[in-house]
Amino acid sequence: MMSAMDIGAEKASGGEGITYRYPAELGVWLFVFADMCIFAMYFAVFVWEKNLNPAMFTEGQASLSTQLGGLNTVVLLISSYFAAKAVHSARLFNIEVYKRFIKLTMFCGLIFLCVKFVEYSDKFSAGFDIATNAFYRNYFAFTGFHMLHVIFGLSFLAWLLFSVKTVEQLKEKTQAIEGAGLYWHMVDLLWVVLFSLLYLVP
Amino acid sequence: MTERKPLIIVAVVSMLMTTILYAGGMFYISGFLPPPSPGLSQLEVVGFYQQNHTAIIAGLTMAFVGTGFMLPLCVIGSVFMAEVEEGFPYFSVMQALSALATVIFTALPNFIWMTAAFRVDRSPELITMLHDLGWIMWATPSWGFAFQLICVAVVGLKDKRPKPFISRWMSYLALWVAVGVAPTPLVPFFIEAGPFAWNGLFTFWVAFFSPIFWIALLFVVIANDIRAGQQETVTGSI
Repeated sequence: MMSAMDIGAEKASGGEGITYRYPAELGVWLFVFADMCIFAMYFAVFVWEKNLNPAMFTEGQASLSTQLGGLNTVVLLISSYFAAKAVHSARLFNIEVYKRFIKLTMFCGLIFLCVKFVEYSDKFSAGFDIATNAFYRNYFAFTGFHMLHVIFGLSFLAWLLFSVKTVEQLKEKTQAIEGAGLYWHMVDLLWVVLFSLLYLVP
Repeated sequence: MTERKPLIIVAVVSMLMTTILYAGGMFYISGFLPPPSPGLSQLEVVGFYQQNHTAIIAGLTMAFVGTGFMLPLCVIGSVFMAEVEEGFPYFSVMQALSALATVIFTALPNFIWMTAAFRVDRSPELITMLHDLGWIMWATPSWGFAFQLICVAVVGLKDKRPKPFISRWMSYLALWVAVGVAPTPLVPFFIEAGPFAWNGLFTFWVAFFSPIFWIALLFVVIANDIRAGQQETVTGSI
């Protein structure tokens, strides 16, 4: 079992840059798949409970701010673009561009957290919290869990920013950078689904 | 390099002891697992303790003995991890210390429930309180275990030897299990049954069985490694 995976992850280097049979490590893909399974369960629970009590969920949805949620969607989509650019420049061993794009990605992630903070404060001051009802339980638990993913993602990015100082270190970490990029795209994708499910779907 | 095989045998035996004693005590004898709904009425809770008095005490005693057997497994994990780390083995030590926290928080609720079953004729409010205290203590603090898994994953990913102490994909899966147990701090918010209550889909079924799945997978991988090692008659690394 292991030998097949090792071969899969083996680098086939030639010329400038590195090419793999697939980006990042197989383990990252496994993590992404397993994590998305948990989120799929979240979505299923949400839809199931919404069918049990449509009135409560419609009312709850109306109280959410589509503007703030939409802003966060745009911010994360832009950050995904920056992450893709960072991975691309890491593959070309262009350390200056790489660092700039990692910083931009992290900046967008931090904006996401700030907007999230504003959104949560709004809800708390309006008297809604996680124990209010099933809609708010799901809203706070799912978006909170997603926010935890963003925070972890930001820590990976910070590590990849501060531990890479020379081109050699960048070469060593290319695969880890691809992994972080993949993870970041997953976080983005999950937010897009969460946003449409919680804020938009009538 | 530590001789691996005797340690692995001890780990397998201790894991089997934990599984038999804990699962037997909690699922079969005392009937504590799968967890009862947090929405049970006072009458139902007291009735549960009165009807199953002896079985509850017997099952919980058996289960808490079983939790102790998690320690050899975790310490042996730290032995293999320490071989990878350079200098002071921070992550190995932290893994072992977190294992102690996991064991304590898994075993302590059993004594609280035993106290509830000890004098079943006491005031129903007190029995319900001990019942709730036990469940909140059992279901909420999973982060010691998450720390264990994160330490294993960090060291596993650092391990650049041709035969790492744990496969890289197992390290990533360990990180996933750490994510899977992460929602348990939500347990005390919900007094009614739901996906985040102490018998909920995410806080019990996913958070309890994803670690078990990972540990079972670990033993399958280790068994495969040993078998492959015997076929190759490789000396040294195994």
